[in-house]
Amino acid sequence: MEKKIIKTDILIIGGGTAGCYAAIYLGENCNYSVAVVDKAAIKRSGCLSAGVNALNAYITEGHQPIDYVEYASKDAEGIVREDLLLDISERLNKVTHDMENRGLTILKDEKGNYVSRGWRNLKINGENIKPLLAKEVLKQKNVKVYEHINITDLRSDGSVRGAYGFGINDGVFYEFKSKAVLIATGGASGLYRPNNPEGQAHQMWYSPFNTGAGYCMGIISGAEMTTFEMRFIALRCKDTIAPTGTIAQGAGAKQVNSFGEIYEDKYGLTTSQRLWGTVTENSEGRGPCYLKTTGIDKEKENELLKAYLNMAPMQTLKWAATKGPSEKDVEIEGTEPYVVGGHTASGFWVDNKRMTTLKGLFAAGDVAGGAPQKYVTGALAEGEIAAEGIIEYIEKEYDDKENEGLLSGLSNTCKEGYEKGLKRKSVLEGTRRYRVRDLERAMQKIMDEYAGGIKTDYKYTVHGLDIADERIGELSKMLDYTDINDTHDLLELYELRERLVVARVLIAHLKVREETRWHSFQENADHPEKSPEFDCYINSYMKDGRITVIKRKLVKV
Amino acid sequence: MGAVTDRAKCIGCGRCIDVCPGNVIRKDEQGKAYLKYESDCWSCAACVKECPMKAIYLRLPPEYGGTGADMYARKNKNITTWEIVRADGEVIRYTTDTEEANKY
Ligand SMILES: Cc1cc2nc3c(=O)[nH]c(=O)nc-3n(C[C@H](O)[C@H](O)[C@H](O)COP(=O)(O)OP(=O)(O)OC[C@H]3O[C@@H](n4cnc5c(N)ncnc54)[C@H](O)[C@@H]3O)c2cc1C
Ligand code: SF4
Ligand code: SF4
Repeated sequence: MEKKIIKTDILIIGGGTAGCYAAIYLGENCNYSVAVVDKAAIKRSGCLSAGVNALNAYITEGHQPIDYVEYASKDAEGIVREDLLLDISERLNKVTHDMENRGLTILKDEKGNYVSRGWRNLKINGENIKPLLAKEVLKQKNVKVYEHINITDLRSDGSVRGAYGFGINDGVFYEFKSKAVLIATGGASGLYRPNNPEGQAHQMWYSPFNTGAGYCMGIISGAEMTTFEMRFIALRCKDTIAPTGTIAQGAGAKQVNSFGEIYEDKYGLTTSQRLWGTVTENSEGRGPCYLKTTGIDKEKENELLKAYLNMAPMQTLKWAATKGPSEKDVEIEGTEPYVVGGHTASGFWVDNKRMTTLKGLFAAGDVAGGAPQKYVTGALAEGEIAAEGIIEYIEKEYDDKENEGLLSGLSNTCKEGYEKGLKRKSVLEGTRRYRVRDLERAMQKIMDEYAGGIKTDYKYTVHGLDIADERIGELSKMLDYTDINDTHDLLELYELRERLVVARVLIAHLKVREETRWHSFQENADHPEKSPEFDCYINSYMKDGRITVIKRKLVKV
Repeated sequence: MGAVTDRAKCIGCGRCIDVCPGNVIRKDEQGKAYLKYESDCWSCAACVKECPMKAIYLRLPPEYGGTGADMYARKNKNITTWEIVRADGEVIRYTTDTEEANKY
């Protein structure tokens, strides 16, 4: 395997929403050299590939940042880092205006004021939001972009000083050497059996290409993680798994059961309660459930169809090929559970500068924990906060004395890992061999059945978790018996490794929370009530392959 | 199912391959794009909007209802023209403009 070494002051892993915005900030505010590395091309990589329809986090007139903190905290039953939420909230409007100046279209009334959807949500045209961010990144003279490189491990000797990865197209081993690292690889999808069958398995809500790489790298290097047990399960349009906000908040459609009864008031209005209500209506025989859209006029229907083209084109195709929302209510269903810090509080445990518990490693966006309901603008804000923190770190704390022996050992282990993977076929000819995708499906089945997936209406028991833990452990050992023919297979192998590591930590977190804090998101059938004893964070870290779980006191503002 | 290529129309420019967020598309021996990892497709349509030849499009999976339909797109700066071809032959067209915000 050919080896390339790239030296830079700052490395950004993941050129998504948070990563791109951090790169733009660093480009415009310092002279350090910056490398952005992504497994795809940043023009359309990550969550924003198809586009988005709204900025879900914005403080409208008459409201204050603290209102947003209160709202997010209440929605999460108090398990949030209010300090992190507050400094994000204080920047939401600033990053919004900045994006508008950079070319994002935001809906305005005749007087030029933004038109909001509720008090914290703006209507936009976000089809081009990712190409727009990418263009701004490429304008920066001190920023270099490296695409189609999959990063798998951190380069760390106690301080994080870069990362290792391989080129998906060129098969090169890349060693990035830097003074500080920002991790912005998004959350983790594909842990549980998804809604759609094999051929359409990736027709899911969260990006199927965000596989928990950042969490995994952090966990393996000993970083502390928080609140993995607060899973995110989305309520989405049936089959296409397209977002529903544009129909529910945008067009004002209510959730109804198959008898046409509005049921949301019965269960409560937090994000998890809305989902739980739908699950319960179904399980008690009043499903399927819908968003009541029939009767909207044709003009409204046409606008809805166009809106979805800018965000989830498959939904428009479905409407056009079947019946539109004016003639047929839109059926909704819960997705498989994801671990995603932009919606819930799961992810890296960070300080106010967004430095993780590993020196020199910063986190932003869906990979960073503590601050749910971040969405696009929160990810932008957090990218900026982390970028400021990185500049300060390099100036004040960074120590250039590397442990060379340790780092060259790490580099070799990593490279040999890839090479061993690629040579595997000939080595193991005739012995036990499995396709990576078969093991992935096995993992998803186990998580679905024993760790609270769709199959059990998201409920789990401790007994089930023990089975899941054992089976995930077995599957992790089977990674050595996979059939690898090229770098794409190697990519699949590392993605599966990431998901298995995230799954193990998730199981450990679910087990420790001996209560039900959030219906569906974390519904412990052995402990169906909420308990004040668990008014705390569940955090964890891995050492020598073992996971240790700790409780931490809530941080309030 | 999701994105599907039409090898007869493909000129092998590689734009869809580069833009795909999941590294799903590859070239065959004739240098034409195809979905090598078909079941990995997210149906984001990034490739569809990128293609200069309408050689890659989205296909509605049969599980989602209807009797089948394909969707093409052509993007020219801020304007995207979409074309949905239904199984009954009806063609539905939409134009979206990134300078126009969504109303909902
Ligand atoms: C379908 C969908 C619709 C949404 N709609 C809205 C909306 O309307 N409004 C709103 O405010 N929010 C919305 N959100 C939420 C919002 O988009 C996300 O919270 C936000 O974009 C997350 O930003 P991020 O930078 O953390 O992750 P991403 O933007 O996903 O970036 C992660 C990046 O890391 C890269 N990467 C991953 N692993 C590796 C690796 N191993 N090596 C190298 N690179 C890697 C990926 O390719 C990607 O580019 C939506 C999300 C989804 C999925
Ligand atoms: S629709 Fe998206 S995920 Fe599917 S092949 Fe095209 S670019 Fe890739
Ligand atoms: S963008 Fe279109 S023409 Fe170019 S390689 Fe892809 S399918 Fe072929």
